[in-house]
Amino acid sequence: MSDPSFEARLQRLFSDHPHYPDAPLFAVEVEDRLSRGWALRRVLIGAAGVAGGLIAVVQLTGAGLIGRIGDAGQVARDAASALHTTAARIPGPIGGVGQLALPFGGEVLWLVAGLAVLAGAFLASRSIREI
Amino acid sequence: MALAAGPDVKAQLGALHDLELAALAAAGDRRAFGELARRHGSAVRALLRRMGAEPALADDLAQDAFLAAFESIGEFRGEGAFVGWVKRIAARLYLKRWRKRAELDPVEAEDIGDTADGEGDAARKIDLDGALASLSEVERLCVSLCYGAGLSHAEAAAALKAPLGTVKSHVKRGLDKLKRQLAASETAPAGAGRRAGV
Repeated sequence: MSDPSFEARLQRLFSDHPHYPDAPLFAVEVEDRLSRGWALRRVLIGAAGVAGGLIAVVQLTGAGLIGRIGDAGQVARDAASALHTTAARIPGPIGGVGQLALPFGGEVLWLVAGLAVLAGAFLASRSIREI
Repeated sequence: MALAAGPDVKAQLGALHDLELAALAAAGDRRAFGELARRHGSAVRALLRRMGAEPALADDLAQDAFLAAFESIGEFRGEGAFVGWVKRIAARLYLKRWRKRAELDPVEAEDIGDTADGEGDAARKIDLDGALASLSEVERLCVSLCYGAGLSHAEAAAALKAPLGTVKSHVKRGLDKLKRQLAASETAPAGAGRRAGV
């Protein structure tokens, strides 16, 4: 048979706890452990970033991507030249198409790539924060 | 909410409510969480000791509980008291450890016999801690979970991985013993007994 008044009294007794004299020290230890945890986390994230960057550089170099980009640029220039020549031979208004240039150059491509990297870094930082 | 840097920060933190400190901690302010640990550390440590943990273990687990609370502070909605939330985390941490030990040493863990009858103890003034010491280990755990950590019988049964009926009977036996012990302590002459250390 339950005794609500005794149960309520017991809850009060449990909530009436001693205050330990080393309570401030306890709090300092908790804060220290939190700080150590955050420092470790930062080191791990930094190390993972450096490792990832190195792996990316090695992969890019190993795959000869930079050379391929140069080749692709040459192919694009040849194609543009051929298009220009062909368009110049066609009479009428369409003949002027060869005069048109693309609205962006290599700088814009680099800018877009940089923005993509920034967006990736932003997303990564948000994901890490969520974790 | 931004806190000024410098020596005033402790005073500022000390003036804030638990919910405000929890909100600051959720934004990553470790000093705010330190203030919560300073305020409620004793309550969590005392609960663990009352559950049966040795003082050193109780302190370690209390720290672990606060760290776990910081990690999941976003889950604290402020619907109950912050200290109650941390107490439940701490109680579950202790139970986890207790169950591991129970697997290694089932005889001791399943000991549900009386550790003290208490009937002949009327000459001593006994407070809650002394009264809890007279309970068996399992009774002490069940009573502490339900009345100290604020778990329902069903939650305590789930945490203990024990049948609900078993937990209820442990709680009932524990309550009966505590009632006798506390009644005896009230009739004992003042200053005649010892106060059990927590």
